[in-house]
Amino acid sequence: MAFALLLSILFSWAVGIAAARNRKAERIILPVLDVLQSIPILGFFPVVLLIFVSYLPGQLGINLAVVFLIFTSMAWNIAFAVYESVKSIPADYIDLANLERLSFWKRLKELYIPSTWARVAYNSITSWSVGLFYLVTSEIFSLGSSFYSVSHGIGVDIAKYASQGDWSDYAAAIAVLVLAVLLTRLFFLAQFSTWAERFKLGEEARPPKRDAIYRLYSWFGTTARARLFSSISRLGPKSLPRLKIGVARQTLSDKVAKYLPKVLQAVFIAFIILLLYVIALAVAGSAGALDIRRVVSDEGYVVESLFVSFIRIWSVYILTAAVAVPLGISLAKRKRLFSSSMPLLQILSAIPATALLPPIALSLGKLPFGGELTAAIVIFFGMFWYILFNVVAGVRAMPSDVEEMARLAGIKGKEAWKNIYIPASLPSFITGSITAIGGAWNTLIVAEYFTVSLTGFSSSQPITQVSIGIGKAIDIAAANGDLLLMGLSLLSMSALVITFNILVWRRLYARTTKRYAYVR
Amino acid sequence: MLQAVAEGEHALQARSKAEHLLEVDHVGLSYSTEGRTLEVIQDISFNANYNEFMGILAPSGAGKSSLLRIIAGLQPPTKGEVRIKGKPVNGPAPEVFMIFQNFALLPWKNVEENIEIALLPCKQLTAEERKEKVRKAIEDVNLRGFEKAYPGELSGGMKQRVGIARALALEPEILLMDEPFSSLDELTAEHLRSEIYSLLISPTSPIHSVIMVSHNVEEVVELVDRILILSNRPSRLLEDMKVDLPRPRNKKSEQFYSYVDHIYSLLT
Repeated sequence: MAFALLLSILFSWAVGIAAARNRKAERIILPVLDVLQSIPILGFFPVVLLIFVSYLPGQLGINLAVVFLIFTSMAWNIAFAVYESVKSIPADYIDLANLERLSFWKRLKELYIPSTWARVAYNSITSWSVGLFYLVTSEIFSLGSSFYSVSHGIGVDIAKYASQGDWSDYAAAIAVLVLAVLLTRLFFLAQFSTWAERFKLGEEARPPKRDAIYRLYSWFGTTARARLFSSISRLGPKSLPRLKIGVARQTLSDKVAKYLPKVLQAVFIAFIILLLYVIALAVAGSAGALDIRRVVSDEGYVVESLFVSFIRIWSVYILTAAVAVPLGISLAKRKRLFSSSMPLLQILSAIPATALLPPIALSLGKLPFGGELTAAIVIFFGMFWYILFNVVAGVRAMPSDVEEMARLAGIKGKEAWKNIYIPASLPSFITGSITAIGGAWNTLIVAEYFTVSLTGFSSSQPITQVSIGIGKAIDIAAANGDLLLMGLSLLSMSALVITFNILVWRRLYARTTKRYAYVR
Repeated sequence: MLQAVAEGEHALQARSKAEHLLEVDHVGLSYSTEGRTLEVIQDISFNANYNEFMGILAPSGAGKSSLLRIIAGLQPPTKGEVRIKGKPVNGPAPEVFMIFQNFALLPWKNVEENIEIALLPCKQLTAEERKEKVRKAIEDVNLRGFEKAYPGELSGGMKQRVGIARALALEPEILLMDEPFSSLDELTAEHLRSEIYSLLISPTSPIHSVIMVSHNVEEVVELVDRILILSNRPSRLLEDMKVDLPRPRNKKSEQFYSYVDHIYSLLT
């Protein structure tokens, strides 16, 4: 996992700096990143797994597939952070670098990379917890198939103990996981971001209340916000001074400097094309020649599944919001309750929702609509924390003078909620919702259909399943090696998610931030 | 009969106590963190009289905003007490309202609504009376035509006008101002300063007392009737002085400068 993080940071530097320093690269890289980060990555896991396993022997392939998956869950968010940091380097620094005639590598070492540390560190915290969620989920998922299950890992243990009814071991495994999350957050990531603070250039706008608690929890919001902003505001056509290379002293590294962004760009495009090609090839190969009638009937099934899953996610979302928003506001309002309940909430939120799946599935699976209920509960917990912490951060970011004004005027109760607290939480609530729903599409892959095939455990009989849904379609396709169905499912799901992001969320976000955000 | 006499006596006592609108009685404030105690306000006492514009001047970090918040009842003091018309203050008092350095406007409400929100808890007002008060306040601060504008569309000076209008509409007996001009540019601040005195202190104004906190010496000398000068942390009262200058005050006059010089010599 640390390896995946390192890989993500390296990738982000290459892509982010290229995008920030070269207009052409920017025009290509940003939309590509934008699409990549809104795709439900987990859905692609089966395909990735299949590809890696078929080319690499045994456990190596599986583990590399997991690393790749985690990489894809972490990289985009950090890449955007790098892009924004480099892009917002104050012009004086660039001028200085030009005056000093720094070579490209010197610039990289002395200016670009240091300027990104603060944001990279901050976003690494987000990436880390997102990555952990995917790690556990993909491990649990991999158990569904006897071909390519990861043999060791906390996710594996959790699912194994639960399916064997070892509840004490299951609880211990969850406890270990929570402890690991808290320790890494406390000792590694927090240190990293404190250290990185000093690399901040100029007077950056700071969040209004930078108390420790706010900082800890606002990371839930930053990703989605950073994601959207990168494409909404794109920082304007503020053309920063280009590299001006002295005619007299054109060294080798300067030549490299000139062409490196283009090379990177080419490599990146090649990588994307290759990926698409491999997927297409795999699909075509399994389907023989593409049978049009099968494509049509499969697509019909896929559309139907998508529709049902869409309804499912949104119903649970409304329920989640109805619980999380009032709870978040009440928590944020009461300082003492807030600080006393935070450690508990922190522990609870460290449990990836999918790790709860086995016991819920086993206890509810037999009931009528048990599968439906299980999926709903897992999706609920997948979304709950994002919304809760975002609402809390939003209300706490409210300037204290507004609160004082309300107290002096005697605005209380329903009036205060309606006029002050609910509107104040709105922008961060939208941010949280975007992340939550994005996450829910991923959660579906295990929540809608879940099997454990272990030795001594009979069958590929699923422990829990819903009657129809896109997650189930993908799982079944993966289990049967039906690449056509899988390809169609993934394409359709990605298309839906991306379209919805562009048409609904982005506009909604732009509108709410315009009116509801505190800009001084 | 005897009881009535006792009650009369009691009322008389209460009135003599309530001679002052506001009493700050040996107020102190200290924070303790990790065993160490940081004393912000050592011991401050003063009274505010009816129809008086008072200024509190102190170096930055001397706890003048804290003092204002203690008076407002937003923050309890660690020592002493504050009384309004003889009643001890525990929590926000209905007689007090505040104008804030950063305006405290709600970005999702337009000018009208931002003023009206402060009147919502006054249940004795009908919707029409509320609207009328808002309309009048907007007129007083010269914001006609901007009723439907949102704070994001207003300049800093106009935002502070909304803040002032809100205070006027609410008609508090004691109005506190926390660095009301310090987040405005100098020209705007100058302009607003020249209007504010007549807005707040007029024979018809329901506002009996204004207390302004500031670190700008000229501003305070220009505006107020009486200045309290506080020392650096832990702050004590250094001097309580009247400003005896005719209004409108000429900032270039010699007397004006003698006040300013005297204050600078106290503060440094």
